[in-house]
Amino acid sequence: MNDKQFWSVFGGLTAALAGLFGYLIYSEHQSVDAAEAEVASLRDRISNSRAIVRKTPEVEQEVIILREISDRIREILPDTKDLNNVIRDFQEYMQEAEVTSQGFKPTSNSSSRQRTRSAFERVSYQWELVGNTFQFLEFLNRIETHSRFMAVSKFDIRAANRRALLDEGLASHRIVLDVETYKYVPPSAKEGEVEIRSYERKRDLLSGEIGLRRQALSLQTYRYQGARGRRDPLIDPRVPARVDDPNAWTVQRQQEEVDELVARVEEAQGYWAASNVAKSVLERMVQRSELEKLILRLGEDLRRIEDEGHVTYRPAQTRIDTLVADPLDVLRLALDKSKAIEGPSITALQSVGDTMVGYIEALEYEQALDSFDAIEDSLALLLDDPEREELADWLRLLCEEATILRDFSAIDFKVGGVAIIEGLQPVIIIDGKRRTVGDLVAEELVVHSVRPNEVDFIFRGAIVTREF
Amino acid sequence: MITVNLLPEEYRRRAKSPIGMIAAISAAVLINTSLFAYWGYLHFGVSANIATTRDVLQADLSGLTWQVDYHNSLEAEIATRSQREQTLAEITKSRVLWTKTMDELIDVVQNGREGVDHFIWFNDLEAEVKVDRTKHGELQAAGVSGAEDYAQLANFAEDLEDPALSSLMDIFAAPEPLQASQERPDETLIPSVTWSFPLKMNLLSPAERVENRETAEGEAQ
Repeated sequence: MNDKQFWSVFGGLTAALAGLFGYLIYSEHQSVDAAEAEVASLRDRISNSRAIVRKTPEVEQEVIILREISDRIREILPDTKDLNNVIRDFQEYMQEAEVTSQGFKPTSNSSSRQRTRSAFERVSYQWELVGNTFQFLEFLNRIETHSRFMAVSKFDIRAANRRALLDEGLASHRIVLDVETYKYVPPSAKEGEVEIRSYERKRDLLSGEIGLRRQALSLQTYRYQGARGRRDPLIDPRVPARVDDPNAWTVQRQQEEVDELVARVEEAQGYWAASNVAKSVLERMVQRSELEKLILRLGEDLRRIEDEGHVTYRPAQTRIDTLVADPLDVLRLALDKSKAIEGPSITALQSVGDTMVGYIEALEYEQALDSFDAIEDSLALLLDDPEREELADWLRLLCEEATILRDFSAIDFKVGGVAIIEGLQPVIIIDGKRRTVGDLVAEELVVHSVRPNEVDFIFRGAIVTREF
Repeated sequence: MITVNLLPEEYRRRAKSPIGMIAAISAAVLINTSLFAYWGYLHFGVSANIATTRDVLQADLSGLTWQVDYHNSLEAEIATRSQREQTLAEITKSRVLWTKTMDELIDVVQNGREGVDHFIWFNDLEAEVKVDRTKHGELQAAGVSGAEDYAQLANFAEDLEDPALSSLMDIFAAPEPLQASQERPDETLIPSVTWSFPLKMNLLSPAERVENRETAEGEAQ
């Protein structure tokens, strides 16, 4: 190999080696750059992940709150139509509000609302009702306070005409009512729950927030308080012209007076119902005593109103007849019947007697007398029944005893001391004065006998003892 | 061609060290060794160091991944559950409490004193809530004013808008302009003269109703 060849080979080898190393270095640089980019990306992802994880406690709280209020949300906006229950509820509400239904039918679901919002499905019903405005509002209020969300989208009231009012006496407006409720349609079927560690503890810590969110879910409602003496705005309130009586009551006044009487009759009916389900004889007696008083006062007021002829408005007159006079007669009759047939039973009399004895032994004479007062009026019904009359006599005796003891205990005097010497009349100092057996201490109170720590008196024919 | 040196030994040129060659070889070795060393530094130093860092970060990320997955699952649950809450808010916003509205209308009617302010009743009454961009619904009634003085209708219209008597104007726009026609007098009734008039009040938008209600509640508190 000559020099030239040598240098050629040498140069070639050197260049090849340098090229190889250059390539390796280049590749290494590439791989380092890629690795650095990967590291940077990892750092970013870690940073992002940390940022996300830092928010996890807040998200957890929100999930816990949503889970805890989900039952309330489901109650307001259920997944199911559950229309059968809605119809049952409506019937119950109509009965409570005293409106009558003349028909109902589902209405079309093709409203703009239905088409544009897919998260819930509108379920709508149309009802045809008959009733006055206040009954309708009572019914409406029940719908608008229903636990399930319901909205009245439309109603139309056609007022009862004057002729029908005069004939029937009651306003029967024809009402068409559209009520909407909603069925929630979840966008995706799955609503999986992630397990949250220490759920109960975390939930307990959030109880305040959960309460607030539950409260915020409450639907806006209105507390309807009834007619409150107002006139129905869908009733023609004009009165027949009466030139002879310038002080004639207006229709409004007539309606108010009748409303008040009706309310009192309802109160009386309440007493009657309560007396029939009373748990104790005493309670029953008290309820019937109140009922008797109320019936008496109602009868007087009704007579006065009828005598004075103030109620000329036919609907008001009809209401007086159907809602006051007739129920009052029914109540009177029922009360009289119950008195005539029943009177207090043996058990009732025994029970009252035992109660009175208990009170007397406990020195509670007033309560004993109250017990007797509750039954006293009905004792007159027992004359034909010797067995119960005997118990009635016992009760009268207990009453007399309780009266004497009550009055005796009310007499105030001070005993200064006693002197008991054999062979001599015992002496007692009462209110600083010397008294002996047979002396009058106060009105109807005579010393009967004296013992070391007590003295007997004769008081209204009975012997009573006072300790000192 | 073969060259033969025939000169005696003492005349021949003395062999010299190949300095150029040595220098060239040295340079070649130096360059290639340096390149190799640099590659070694990159491969075993920098690259390995980065690989270690990457492994550590990978391990960190793996530790965070399940936490992120957990977080995302919670977020998904929130999305599903809160949709119902939003739906509820949406439909409740547009609801009109007709019990309250009618009760207040009755108060306004009742407020009038016969022969003094107004004496009003209705022959029919219709109300509707609409879900429309421009029309939100209305309350319409065929009203009757029992008075000879038709100015009492203005009293009634004023009472409807009086916030001291009712909050009707929180949900309705002002009633449409008054118009009335006198009915044939009925001398058998008091008052005998009546005026018929249409009452129409348009519902405000749900947003306005909510705003007015919240303002009223704020003032009440």
